[in-house]
Amino acid sequence: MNIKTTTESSFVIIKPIGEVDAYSSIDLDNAVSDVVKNYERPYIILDGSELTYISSAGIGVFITYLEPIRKKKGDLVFANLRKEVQYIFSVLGLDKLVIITDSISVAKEKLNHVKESI
Amino acid sequence: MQRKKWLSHTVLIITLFLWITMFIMLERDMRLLEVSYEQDRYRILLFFSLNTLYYYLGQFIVSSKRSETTRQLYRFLILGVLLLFTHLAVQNLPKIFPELKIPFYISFTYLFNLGILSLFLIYGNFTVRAFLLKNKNPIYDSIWKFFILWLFLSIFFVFVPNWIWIQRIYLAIGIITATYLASTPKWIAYLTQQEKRFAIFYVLGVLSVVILLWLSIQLYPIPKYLPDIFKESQNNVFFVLSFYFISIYLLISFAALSINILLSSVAEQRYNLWSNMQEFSYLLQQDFNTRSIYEKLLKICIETTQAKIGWVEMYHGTDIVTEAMHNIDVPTIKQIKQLTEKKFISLLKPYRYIANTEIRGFRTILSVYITLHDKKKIGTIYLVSPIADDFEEDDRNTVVMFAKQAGIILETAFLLQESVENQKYQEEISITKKVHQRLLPKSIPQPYPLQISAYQKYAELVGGDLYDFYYDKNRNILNFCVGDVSGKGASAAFYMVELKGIYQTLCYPENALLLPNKMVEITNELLTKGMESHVFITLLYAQFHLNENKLYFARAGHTTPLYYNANTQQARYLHEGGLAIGLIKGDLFNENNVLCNIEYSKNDVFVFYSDGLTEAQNPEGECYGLERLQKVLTEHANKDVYAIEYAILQDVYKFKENTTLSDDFTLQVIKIQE
Repeated sequence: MNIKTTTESSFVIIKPIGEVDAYSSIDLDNAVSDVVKNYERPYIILDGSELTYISSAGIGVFITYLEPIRKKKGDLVFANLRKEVQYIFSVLGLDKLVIITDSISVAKEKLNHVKESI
Repeated sequence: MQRKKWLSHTVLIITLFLWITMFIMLERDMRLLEVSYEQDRYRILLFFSLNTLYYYLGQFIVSSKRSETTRQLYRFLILGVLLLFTHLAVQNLPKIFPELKIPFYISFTYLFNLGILSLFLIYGNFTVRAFLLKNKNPIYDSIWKFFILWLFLSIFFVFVPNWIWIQRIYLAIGIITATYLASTPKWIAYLTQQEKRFAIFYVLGVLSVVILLWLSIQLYPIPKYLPDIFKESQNNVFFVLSFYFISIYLLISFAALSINILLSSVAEQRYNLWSNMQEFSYLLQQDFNTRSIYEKLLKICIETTQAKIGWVEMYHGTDIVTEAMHNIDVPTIKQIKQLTEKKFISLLKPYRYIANTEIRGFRTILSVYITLHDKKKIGTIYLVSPIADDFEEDDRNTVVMFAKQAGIILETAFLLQESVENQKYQEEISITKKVHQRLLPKSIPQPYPLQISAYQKYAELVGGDLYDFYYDKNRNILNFCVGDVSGKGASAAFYMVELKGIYQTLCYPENALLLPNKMVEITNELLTKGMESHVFITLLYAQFHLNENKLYFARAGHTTPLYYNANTQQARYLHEGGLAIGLIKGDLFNENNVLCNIEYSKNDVFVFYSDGLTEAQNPEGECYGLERLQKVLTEHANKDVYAIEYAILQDVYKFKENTTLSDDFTLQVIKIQE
């Protein structure tokens, strides 16, 4: 698994490529925690276009950082999730907790809403 | 050993006593001018003293440690220097005290010096004996024995001073033997490079002392008043022969040592290397403590190369950790490395080397990687010398060899550590498995009209799958719960235990009846408090209200149950449900938590499963998925639960082929009987 982290204006786009299993979830954890640590207000878009599978440990990463991100008045939005991954997220009820969108641009819009609402 | 020492000391004292007696007698004779030289007493005394001194002193020396040749040389030199000073003091005393210029003192000096020389030569003979023993050749030893006997017999020429020709032949034979013995100074080969440097100094010292003593005695005028028998004693066969033997032996040794040091022969280096290697591997054999391996590696490299400073670094991921140090500290190492980073020249050699860093005290730096058999670099050993251009090519290659060997040993050590950890891990898994098995119900209630089957499959790593049934007789309600704790191993097992406790309390029949959605809310409230932030639990509580033909359930992030409706002959997933346990607390959780109900009829089938089943992969990496499950249920729904279960499992196993399961799974099939 590979992780690409890019910044676009005030958004950080994290793009995991491949499968996030119990072992590679450590890399994902590092990537997310770096952003949470280094940004005053982390606005994170998780680009799931090349995320083929995510284990419970990988989901655990998002759950762990969701609260710290929101405490810093930032947010996390999922974009471009594959069908299988999106199914897993919705079964868990994550879709009720986090915004899941179909594209990065929509994700940015949603995050801008969050920004304005503060 | 102790007794022998004591004996030789006693003999020495007796001999000295005899000598003193001889001098007293000499003095009296000269004073009285009673020159009755024919008397044999001097001869007898001289014979005794020489003889005893010779043998016992010799025995004493030979019985001391044989291996320490340089130490013996050192002792020999010290004795020689002391004797030389005593000799000079005795000889020059009359210059300070003119009253000593009497015939007796002159005679005394002559004899005393002769005594000193003989003491020194005898001592020397036996010191050389120890060196000769290094040849380890029986013929050589026999020749030595012959020579020593020859030397001993020569003492008796004192009694026949007129046998000139016999003496000369005797001397010639002795000289040939001595030359032969001296020709191969093999002891040198046993010395280390450092010992050789000392040895050459000692040999030179002893040689000069011997020659000085000899010359001094030869040049001393023979006193006129001395009894005839003592005259020309310095030319006695015994003295000449022992002097010759010691001088020639030392001379040849000196020459051999000089050549040896200059050339530092390859064979010797190989020998040293071999013995060091041997020692190194022996040291490491029973040691799988990595720290002490680093220390031993450093020690042996420093000893072999005679580096003054050294350290061993190991790579732990991207970190570099200094594991062993000699004469240096971490801040200095950092500084040195920074200063020299770009100066290393490797030149396709298995080491990196800086001939002159131009840093005072750290002129030469040698750096060798410690590698595993697959050439992966796991660390580096650094050796530093304060002299520029230090560490010869051979030394560098030796360090490379040591580093290689250490790499092999370290690899073994790592594997061993890993297997120990693995064993711990295995134990943890087996404990978790036991806990897991205890948590799962031993028997499954079968309240009419339900027919229930439950199956669990363990993967290699135990996950957190849990299910439980509880039949409430009074209310005719079957409580059913399935859950999955994220994560694996012992920590997952703890949450399972907690979950089971909560569940059993919630459906305890004495309590008021709680519907599944309420049970989920309470569980979330209770569990979320103490849970680690990355852990979550998916859960499904179900209640079959048998009197009403109704299933109530609440799904908290768990897999969607599959429901087969016998009337429509179709299977569908029941999607309604809320958030998994542990994601969030309070209102947001409760808002999303929903109670679902299904009014079932005869021949309907419910299938509950954990994600391990739908995520079972085939060799192409494809998941089993929901559709396949749905299809196989539809096809086999008319059978009893066991047949349905069997059909599903058959389908899953056929699909996954020989791929191993990464997650364990559970499967429960519940059918409403006719």
